Order: sequence, then C-alpha cells, then structure tokens
Amino acid sequence: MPRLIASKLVELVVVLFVVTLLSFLLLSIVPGNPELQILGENATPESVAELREELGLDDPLPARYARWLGDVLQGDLGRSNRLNQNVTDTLKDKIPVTLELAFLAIFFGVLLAIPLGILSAWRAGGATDRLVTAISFGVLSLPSFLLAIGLLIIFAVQLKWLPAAPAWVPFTEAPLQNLKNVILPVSAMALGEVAVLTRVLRSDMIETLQSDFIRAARAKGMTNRYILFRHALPGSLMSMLTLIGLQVAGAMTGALVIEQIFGLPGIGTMLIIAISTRDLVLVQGTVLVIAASYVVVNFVVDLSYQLADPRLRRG
Amino acid sequence: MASIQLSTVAADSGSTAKRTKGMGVLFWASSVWIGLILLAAVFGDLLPLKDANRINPADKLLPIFSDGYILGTDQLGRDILSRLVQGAQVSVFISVVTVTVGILVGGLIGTTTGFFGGRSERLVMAIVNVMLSFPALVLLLGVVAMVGASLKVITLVFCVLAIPGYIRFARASTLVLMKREWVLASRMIGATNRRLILRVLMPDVLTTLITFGLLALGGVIVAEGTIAFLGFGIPPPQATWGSMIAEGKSALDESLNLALVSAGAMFFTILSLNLIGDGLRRKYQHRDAQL
Repeated sequence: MPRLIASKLVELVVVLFVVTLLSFLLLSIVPGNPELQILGENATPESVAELREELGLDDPLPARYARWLGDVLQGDLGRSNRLNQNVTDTLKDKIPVTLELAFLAIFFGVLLAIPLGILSAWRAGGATDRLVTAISFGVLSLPSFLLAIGLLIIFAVQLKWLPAAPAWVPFTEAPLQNLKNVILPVSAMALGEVAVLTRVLRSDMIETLQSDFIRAARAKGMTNRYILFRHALPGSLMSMLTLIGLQVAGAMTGALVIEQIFGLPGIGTMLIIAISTRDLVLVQGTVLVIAASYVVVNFVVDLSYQLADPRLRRG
Repeated sequence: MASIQLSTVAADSGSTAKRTKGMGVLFWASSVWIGLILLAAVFGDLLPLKDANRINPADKLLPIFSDGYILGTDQLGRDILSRLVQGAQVSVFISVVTVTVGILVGGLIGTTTGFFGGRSERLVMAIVNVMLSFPALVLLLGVVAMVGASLKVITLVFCVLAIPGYIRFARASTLVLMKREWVLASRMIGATNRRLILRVLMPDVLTTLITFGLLALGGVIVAEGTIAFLGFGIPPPQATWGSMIAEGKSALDESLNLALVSAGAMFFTILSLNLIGDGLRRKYQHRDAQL
C-alpha cells in the first residue's frame, strides 16, 4: 500500500511539474514582444525596460522558470497590469463561485441519477427504462452550452421565471437569492451528469440484479425494496463513484463555459476576459490554477478509488 | 465522449431478438443527416447559395422560411443556410483531420510501442498519461490566447491533444492481438518486425480505432464549437457553428431563430454520430460474440 501511494505521488509531482512548465512557457510562445502586450502599445521605453527587469526577460529561460516557480510556490502568481491587482487576490474572489457551481451540479446530478438508474434497471426493457434511456442518450448529445441556451430560451426568455443574467450575490449574504440565480446554470451542468451517471448505474445494476446473491435473497423471501436498496445498490455503485470523481474535475472546466453564458463572476469568466484583454500574466496564473486543481482532484479520486477496490491495487 | 462507451454493455445482453432486426430507422436517418452534412461541406462552394458573408441590413433577423432565405437571416442580414454550410466546412475539416491524424499517428506509435515494449514503452506511456491528465479546454484556451486563433492553430492543437488517447487505445489492442494465433504464426514463419507491425497488427488495430474515432468526431465538433462559442475560434467573418450559436444567444431577445437553427444543426450532427457509433458498436460486438 505505501508503495502504491508513493508511486502515485511521484506521478503527481511529475504531472504538476509539467503543468507549471507549460503554464510558464505560455508566456514565452507569445509572438512578438510580451512586454508590449502586457503594457499596451503606448508603453514608454522606460516602463518596458522596467518590466523586462521585473519579469527577468533578459535572463536565460531556465533561470526565469526557477524564479517564477519559486514565487508560485509562495503563492505569488504575479501582478495583472490591467487590473492593477495581484493575480492571487483576484483568483481568491472568483474561485468560490466556480466551486459552488461545480459542487451543486455534481450533488444534484447524483441525487437524480440514483433513483433514475434504479428505476430503469428494475424493469430493464420496460417503458420507463426505454424513456429514461432515450432521454439520456439525447442529453448526452447536447453539449452543456447548448443545454444552457435551451434552458435560457425556455425559462428566461419565454416563461420569464428566472433571470437570464443574474447579478451575483454570494451565498453567505443572501442564500435564497443566490440559489435562485444558480438554478439555470447548475441545471445546465447537472443534466449532463444525470445522463451519464444514470446510464452507468443502470448497466451496473442490471448486472448485479442477475447475480446469484440477489437470487438467493429473493428465494429467502426478502422484499423488493430491501433487495434493491440494501443488496443491489451498494454493489452497483463502484463505476458510478469513479465517474463522479472524474466529473468533479470535469465540472470545474465545464463551469468555464456555463459561467460565461450566465455572466457569473467565476474563474472561467475571468479567464475569458483575461484572454480577450490579453492580460497575459492573469491568463498564465488562471491556467496554472485550473490545471493544477484538475490534476490534484484527479489524483485524489484515483487514489481513493484504488484504495477502495482491492482488485485494482495490483494493476 | 468516454462516458458513452462505458454504458449499456450489460443492458444489451438480454435483447438478442432486437439485434437481428438490422440497424433500425434511427441509424439510417442519422446516416442520411451525416451524409448531407458531408456533401454540404465538400460541395458547399459549388452550391447555388447566397454569399455567406454578404451583409444585408434591410433583411436582418428574418424568421425561418422567409422569402429568399429558407432558414432566415442573422443580425447582419446574412443568409443562415449559407453560413451553416460554411460552418459545416469548418466542423467537418477540423474533426476529420483531427480524428484521422489521431488514428494514424496514435495508431502507429501505440502499435510500435506495444510491440517492442520495454523502456521506450514506459517512456511513451508516461508522456501519454501526463498529457491525458491535462484539462484540454484550458490548455487550448491558453494557447489560443497567446498565439491567436486560426484554422491552422486550432487544428494543430486538436491533433496534438487527440493523439495520446489513440496511443493508449492502440497499445492496449496490440497487447491483446500479439497473443492471437495468426500473429504468432506470422512470427514463426519469420515475418520481419516491420511487416508484423504494418501488415499484421496495424489493420486490426486500425479497425478498433476507427470505431473509437467515430465517437470522437462528435467530441471534436463540440470542442471546436465551445471554443468558437466563447469567441476564441476562427476569427470572423468566417462562420462556424459555435460562433453562430453565440450570435444567436446574443439575439435571443429579438429572435429565437438563429439560436435554434444553429444549435439544432450541431445537436442533430452529434446525436447522429452517437447513434451511428452506437449502432456500429452493437453490430460489431454481436459479430465478435458469435465467433
């Protein structure tokens, strides 16, 4: 077991190293002069020289990387010249928004997928099952931004039940208002999760329901409900749990697009503004933070999955 | 896309009767739709359509079935049908190139590393694992932000991002194939490594990769659409489905037509690709089971 954790940790460190290297190199692949891009066309020669000095652009690449990495490890992601703010501080404001969306989407995704998966597996091939399967197949062909637009058209433009571009209020200040504002974005993200998770749970459940211990339980005269929830469900959750883990990492990048559509001030909207305004230092910091958290979440999921399932440890 | 493959394997096992019926209406309807999209993309320039970029302020945001504009017009009065065809060219080009490059390059690298094994295999797989653990969309946005978007840049980045998945797939099937009789037999009669890789293993590996690639086509179209929707795709006036959907979204208060038509085109294309992939997978699995 310690060997497994150790080798996984080495892998994590290597991937994180590559993540930092690529994020660092992003700034160096900018065609032309990055300092002009950062300062704008009206930069004076003095300010250019000052920035070159500050970024250490005259040093060799490895030395620059080492210094940059040192700063990053101390939580300093550089300074955004356009916002005139530290990138770290800017990100601190935005991350909670993205995390809230991702968390709620996964939560409601799982909450809906479990009953739907059980329902369609219980009478596999029946009318309910065919309906659920057909709908989830359709939803899987809808990228989340199309789903978001569909929901916008129905609930914001046509029915006018919910705001299309709500002003953001933090959950801690006005919980109800906050939740009302995130219904549409969270639904757009959660529906895709529901479709995927339902399908996986359904096929695992069907397999479990055909196994001998279920037949034995039936023969002993246990009730259907007991068999379904106490025997079949726990045995069918493994693939779904793995997938939930993968979805957590996916939801963070998925939130990028959804935030933008609903104008929510998360990390995704900020990345997009940073790219449009060519705020390169901010782009670099944001890409680094998103990529690194994605990698770390995947690592934690992968490890806990392997710890939970003894069969996988040998592989 | 990976999620789609995980599903319904167990669910199919019970319905043998259904399978013998052939591919079904949905499969053929999907094939017709994909055929139309392909034809539109390939022969788009020859079709008697209006200029996709001609601005016509008098005719803006016309509804569907308007006089002279079958699918209506956008905010600038441009013909939606012509722009859909132009967008189809982009989607088809990027997805077909990405998947073909992925299958060929990834297939060759994966088969070769799986065949030889050893240290080089471990190195290649380590690189593949690192690349696969990256959030592709973020990396893509980062590169586009720094270099600027163009058809070339986007296609290139897509290809680079696609290859690792195919390498992993090809290596896995190679390891399985190497134990099969005909491969062992070719080895025994003294086939060279080159012949074994290119003539014995590759044809089989490629067949598996193509099924996977069919499902991946939809994924590439979605990814390109997402990038374009966010405004970082191929710059205007070039129409892409993603940029049309974004324009449709900003015109929602005045007209639903542009959003619905362009989103519909993308949705039906992805749905069709999924249905075709699903149909082929069932048929293929069925044949495998019979052997």
